Amino acid sequence: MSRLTSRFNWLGFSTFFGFIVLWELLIRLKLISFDYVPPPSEVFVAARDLILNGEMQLNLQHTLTAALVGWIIASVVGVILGVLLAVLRPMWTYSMASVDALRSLPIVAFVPVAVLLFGFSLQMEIVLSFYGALWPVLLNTFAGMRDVEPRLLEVGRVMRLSKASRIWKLQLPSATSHIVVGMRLGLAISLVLTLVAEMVGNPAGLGFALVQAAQALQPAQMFAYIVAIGVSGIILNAGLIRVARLLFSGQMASSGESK
Amino acid sequence: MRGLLPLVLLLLIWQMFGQADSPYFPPPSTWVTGVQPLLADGVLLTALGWTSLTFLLGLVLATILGATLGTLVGSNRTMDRAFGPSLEFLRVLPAASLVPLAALILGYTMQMKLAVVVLPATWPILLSCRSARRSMSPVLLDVPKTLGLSRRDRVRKVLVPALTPAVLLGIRVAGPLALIITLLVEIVTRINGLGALMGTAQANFLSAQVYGLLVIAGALGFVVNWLVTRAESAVVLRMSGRVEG
Repeated sequence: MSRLTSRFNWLGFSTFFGFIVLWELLIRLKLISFDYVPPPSEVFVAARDLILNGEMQLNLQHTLTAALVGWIIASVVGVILGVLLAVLRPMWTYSMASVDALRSLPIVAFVPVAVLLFGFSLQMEIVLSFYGALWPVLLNTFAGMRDVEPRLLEVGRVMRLSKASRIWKLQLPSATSHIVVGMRLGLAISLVLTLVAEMVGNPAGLGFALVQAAQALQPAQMFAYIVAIGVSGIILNAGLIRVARLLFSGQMASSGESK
Repeated sequence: MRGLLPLVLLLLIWQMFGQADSPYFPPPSTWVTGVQPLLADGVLLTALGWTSLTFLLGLVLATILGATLGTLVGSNRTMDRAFGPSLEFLRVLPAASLVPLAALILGYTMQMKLAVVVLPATWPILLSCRSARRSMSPVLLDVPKTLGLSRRDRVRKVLVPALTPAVLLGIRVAGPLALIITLLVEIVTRINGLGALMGTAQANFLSAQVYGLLVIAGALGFVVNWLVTRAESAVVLRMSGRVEG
């Protein structure tokens, strides 16, 4: 396998574009036709128009702001709480069952509660996004803190490190890859909850735009928005992994996460 | 058991200090009375029935689809590379973004609900089967050739037992996910089911009912989680027992 083929998945991407071309042809040749399934060319035009009149950017900005702000706060709080739970044994024995109980609650069921409490506002979206992302980060941090290589802990004891040093220098770095996984999960959840909140309550953002386009019978616009959402998700995820590898290359490498 | 302390404490404090007529935080005692109107005419039960039906049917379809596609994609390196990016793109699309589109194309029907539930729930099973198929021992794959087994027997006697643990692992993740998506569709479209009840209660500012329904949703989630974990460990235990023996 030449270096070029192994680097970039030409076959995969051409298959992907092949599907799109096939879709276009099938509809143009009237071989398949559904009421609300536009050909890719129409989707492209709709996307271009949305970008030109600024609607796409406006909605993207609203949704991403709500999701990211909630997610960042949740990540910070989640890591702190996760570390505390792992380090302070009494806190752990007296709350793990509660955390488990709350965790099995389908997160999406909180959307009506959030709308009830905070009304139709950006604040509501941020609170929801925060709550959704909190659990994966917290639980993964907790798991990562407890999953430290025993040899490392022995090293800490041999070097007579204080408890605080052990946490900061051994456990937390070791938990980094777990935390990153938790943050990635949290990001996906934040995004979904923000979208649902916009479809159900807050008349702003991508979720609301989707619902509006549906009511206006504009499937091309809807496809354009969906693609935008998908691409944003991919970019954010990839960005997070890049940053994590950059900042924490050592820790990520040791847990097998590096390139 | 001790771990439930914070939760119990929270509920107790809420009960003591909450005012029954508070629009935002009615105390837990009011939740039961809040849900009561739904018990009449079996509204709640019907709703639970719809949610459970969608969830179960969606999970079954997702299992079949995910196992088949995953095994196919995992068996052939070229197909894997070819379909990889397309599948990956479909995978990262949040299910929520598909709901309005599905509602437009398929209408407010059971098919639409199932379509939205099956797609995201397929991925954990698909990925699990794919990686299990890829790492299957070549020796094991040669056995049917050596024994001259028919295609059907090859699938039934070699592939299925080898991949079942992977399928179960996928179901372990897909189960709760399917429940979440089911509720999601119901909350957004208000077709039927528990989610629709929650959405309606919220729109009518019946906060006690919203909290009561939240508890019911939580119980449902807990049951699903428990079932899926038990099923998985029971069958995995049986399978590893068989290998030993």
